[in-house]
Amino acid sequence: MKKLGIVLFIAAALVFAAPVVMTAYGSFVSEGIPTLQNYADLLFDCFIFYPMFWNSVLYAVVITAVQLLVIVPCAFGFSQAKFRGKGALFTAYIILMMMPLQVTILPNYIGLRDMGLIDTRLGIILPMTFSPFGVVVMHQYMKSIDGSIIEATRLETNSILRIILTSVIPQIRACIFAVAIFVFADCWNMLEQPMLFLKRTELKTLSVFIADADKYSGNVLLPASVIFMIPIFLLYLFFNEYLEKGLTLGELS
Amino acid sequence: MSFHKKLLTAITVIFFAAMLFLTVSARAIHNATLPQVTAERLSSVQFPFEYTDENGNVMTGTKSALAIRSDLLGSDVFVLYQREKNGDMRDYVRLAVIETGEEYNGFTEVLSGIGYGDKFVISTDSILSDGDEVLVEE
Repeated sequence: MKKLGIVLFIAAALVFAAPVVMTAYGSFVSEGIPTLQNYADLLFDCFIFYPMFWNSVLYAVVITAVQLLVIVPCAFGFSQAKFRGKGALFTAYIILMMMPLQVTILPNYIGLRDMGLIDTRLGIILPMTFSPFGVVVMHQYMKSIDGSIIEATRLETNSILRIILTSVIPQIRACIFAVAIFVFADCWNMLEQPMLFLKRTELKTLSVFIADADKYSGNVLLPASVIFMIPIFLLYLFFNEYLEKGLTLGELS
Repeated sequence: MSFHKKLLTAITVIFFAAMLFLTVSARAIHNATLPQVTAERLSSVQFPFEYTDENGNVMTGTKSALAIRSDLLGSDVFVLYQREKNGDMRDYVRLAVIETGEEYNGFTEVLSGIGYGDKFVISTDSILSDGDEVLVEE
């Protein structure tokens, strides 16, 4: 039975890894012959690739940073504050979290159009700044933190900011890293928002480049996909120990 | 920091430094591989011609015609054109089949093959082929 489990795990791992391996393999092959021509076509003949790459980096880094600044105090408020309607508000967060993008994208577009933010970088960053997913995950994790440390800090100061900085954040570091990875990955992979909210190609992201790769000459799709995977892969390798801790410790308690 | 983390940090720094370097220099590297050409437009030259007036006298007049320097006709003549590639407007050359007319004062009349506004290559630092991308020196 144990051997069957191992075999199934290996089979599932191969199924998930196969597209990645095939992409990497295909990027170094052209008409069956190993070559670097695909990378040369992308890196030295397709200059629009670079602004789109850096746009992806900019949006992912800025949105992740701003989201964390919003999520931590919000989740702390949900876990510690007592106010009327807290349960209903949190339920609304969960409902929002479950809503597919296709439901919210049109109201988003109308709001951004009315604010004059269509075809601007802020039009991508602003809607992504407020994410219910991070609040819900972090709120669950915060249930496991040691309340006595917060009480001890409250004896020294009334400043909520100081309480969060000195006694909450050190205890939820793993969760912060885990949420940051998910938020970064979500922003890095976003496709619909840049396609719909941005008109100028130089503001769009690498995911849009890959979606439109057939517009560009040369076999640029697979090398671009490999380069697209690298930052996420590195991020995961850096923080993978926090990922498991950050998402499960809250549940265990 | 463990060796594993140091290695990952090094790989990350190298990756982003390489992307930054390529962002700044990829176009210059690409342009360095292109043939460099200088180009000019056809000249408008006054060609003499003879005609007979109503009295039967042979008269000499001049007509303005587009012409190319006769020494350039010894080799293939390439005409410049622009085409969009990967979001950029780039310069290419096409081999022109020129029909020539009279010669005068070092210039040869061009009857067809190069239009009035077309630029053609007058010098290049490497051998050109039809459809090559080139870098035009200003």
